Amino acid sequence: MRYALLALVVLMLGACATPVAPKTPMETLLYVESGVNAALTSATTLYKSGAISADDVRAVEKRTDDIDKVVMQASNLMSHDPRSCAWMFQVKAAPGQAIAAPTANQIKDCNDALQALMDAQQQLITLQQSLNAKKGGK
Amino acid sequence: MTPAEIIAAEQLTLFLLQQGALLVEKIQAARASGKPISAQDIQDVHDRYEANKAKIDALLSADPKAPPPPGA
Repeated sequence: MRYALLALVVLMLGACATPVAPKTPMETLLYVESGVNAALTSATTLYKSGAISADDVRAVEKRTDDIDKVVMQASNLMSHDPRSCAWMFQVKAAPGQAIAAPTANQIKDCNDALQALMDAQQQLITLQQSLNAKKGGK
Repeated sequence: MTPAEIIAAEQLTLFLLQQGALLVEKIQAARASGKPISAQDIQDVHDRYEANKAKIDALLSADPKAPPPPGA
């Protein structure tokens, strides 16, 4: 009965939630930060169930902290200088809106933000794989 | 798997689905309104993350075998 109900809920949620791919840098950051939050909550749930140890949770927390840090840095940078980052991420300007070429410093800042974001996404993927392995291994 | 682990796996699945649905809803609403995702939206998720961290830290501090928090 429990599994039938769970399957029903999964189907309903699946039907309601059509996945949307992030199209802008800020949407990507929102995805990554939500993933960070979900990873820590997942670890907490697994710890409460006894599936993983306190050491495992601390290891997850250390990594989610690292990812969270770069996401917040990138978010701060993009909110203060969205034009250069929009250029960097090749986001199209609104009709009639010109995007000026960024300065060398702006390009460097956005390059750094982009690299940090890519690193963060990679770390998050590794983290999720590690959590899945823990779940499967027990 | 123990019964506790099975229940945890169910809770986890539901939580992740709910989070995914909320995220999709947020992005779709932002696109529909023409108001893009802002730094404040990301800050809101960050605040929830910090609140979660405080809860897990409190939980682990009650565990005598748990290691100290990162950076402590």
